[in-house]
Parts: sequence; C-alpha cells; structure tokens
Amino acid sequence: MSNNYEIAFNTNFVSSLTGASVAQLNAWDKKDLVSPSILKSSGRGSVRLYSFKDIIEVKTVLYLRTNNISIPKIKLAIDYLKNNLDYRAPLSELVLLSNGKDVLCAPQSKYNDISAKWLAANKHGQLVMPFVVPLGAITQSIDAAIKKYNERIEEAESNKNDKDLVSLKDIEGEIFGISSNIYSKRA
Amino acid sequence: MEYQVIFIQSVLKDDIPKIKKSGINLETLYRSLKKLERNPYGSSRAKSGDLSNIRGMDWNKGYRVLFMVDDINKIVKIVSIDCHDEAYKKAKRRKQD
Repeated sequence: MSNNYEIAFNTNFVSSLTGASVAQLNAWDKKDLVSPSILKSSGRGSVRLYSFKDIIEVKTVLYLRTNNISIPKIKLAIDYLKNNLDYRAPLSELVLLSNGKDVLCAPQSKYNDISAKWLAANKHGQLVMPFVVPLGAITQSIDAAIKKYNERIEEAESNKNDKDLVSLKDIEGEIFGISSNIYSKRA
Repeated sequence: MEYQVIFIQSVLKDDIPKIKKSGINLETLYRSLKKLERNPYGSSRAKSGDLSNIRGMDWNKGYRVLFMVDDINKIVKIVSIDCHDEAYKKAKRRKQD
C-alpha cells in the first residue's frame, strides 16, 4: 500500500480521525504496536507525526480491539509477522483473516492466490481472529475523512480571504475580457 | 452608474472559474452585473428566512446571482453565483462573513 498523502498527522488529529483516544495511541506507541513512522516520540510532551499508512494501522488495531482481541494477542501476531516475514508494517499491507482457529495472512497483492500464501500467525501462541479485517473499507473511510478535512481547511482559508473584496472594475479586463471603453461607448 | 459592484474572494476563486469551466459565456454575466450597477432592485427579488438581506437575480438558465445591497455606501456585494441550489447553499454559508 502506498502512502496516499505526503502530509503528516499529529496525535490529536489521528485520534479524532480514528476514534482511538490519545491515551490509546500513546500506549500503542510505547508497546511498539503502532508507532508514528514520520516523527517518533522523543520523550514526554514531544510531537509525534503519523503517516496515512500509520492511520490505517491504528484503525485496524482499533477494529481488532473492538472485536475483543487483546493487545498481547495482536502484538503477538504483529511481532511474528515482523520478525519472520520481513513485513515492516504488516497490518496495512496484508489481508488478515481467520478460519476460526488460526490467523491467516496474505499480502494484498496476492490475495487471489491465497492458497499459496496461507500462514498461521499463531505458531507462537494461541491466536484466533474469527473475522476478516475490512482493510478496504477502513482505507476508504480514512481517505474520505482526510479529503473532507482538507476541504474544510480550504473553505476556511477561502472564507478568511473573503474579507478582501474586489471591485468589478478591477477585474473586468482580467476575468471577463472586457474593456471598459467598449461598454461606456455602448451605454 | 449608481452602485459599485464588488465580489467576495470565494466568488472569484470558486464560482467564476466553475462557470468558465462549464463553457458559459461570461459576457452575459458581465452584462447582468452592469445592470446591478445601475439598479440592483430592478431585476432582482428579495430573499427571506436564512437569506434575509440577500437579493437574487436570475442569470442564464437556472443560475442565480445572489448579492447584498448597501444603500448607504452604494455597494452591491456579490456573495455567490451558481446553479440555483448551490448558489443558495453557498450564500447561506458566506453571508456570515
């Protein structure tokens, strides 16, 4: 998955976008579950900056937590994947699904060839995730929320500038291609 | 010419480029705006409710030019130019400023 946006998002924004509280983000960062990839924490009060991909991961972890998967279990899966499969950011790059007993992971690009890529991520523990994480829907919802946020910023900027008023005379040449001489003759 | 027609920035940045893009001849808009300079009350109607203090003029098929009139300073302030629904939506938002 490529980073859809080249802008960074701070903790508060990620919190409002995903529904994860700031405390949760702090905790997940400390536990190395989801860490900001653009600017990491450098101590108390420091700024953290998340990428679009990080936000997808936060939303995914939140989805798993909402479905009562414990943090240790999620971490177990992620650690196994990171250590054994060379996936630096497994959540946003893989399809996570389950047969009710094992966690099965497949790269997004090879989703259709899933039979060749089954992996059980619970060889290190008893990890069961009985559902498919809807990465597509998660990505779309975050994408839409960020677009809406950008539109609001642009609108606010535009409204700020609305205090600057422009007279018709000043723009008739530039915008309407009109020479005022022509119109004064016609009048 | 009695009144001065002025635009808020949003009209210049959003509304007019949108009209240009749709291929409408801007000269007709210009002529309508010149009419407002002479008499903003002649071919317009007052709005009510959320858009009180706003007047609207029909332009082109289905388009509206929405504006506010300041009779003391002789100013006509254009707040939106767009198709009917969009024009009113924008005017409601922008007239707060």
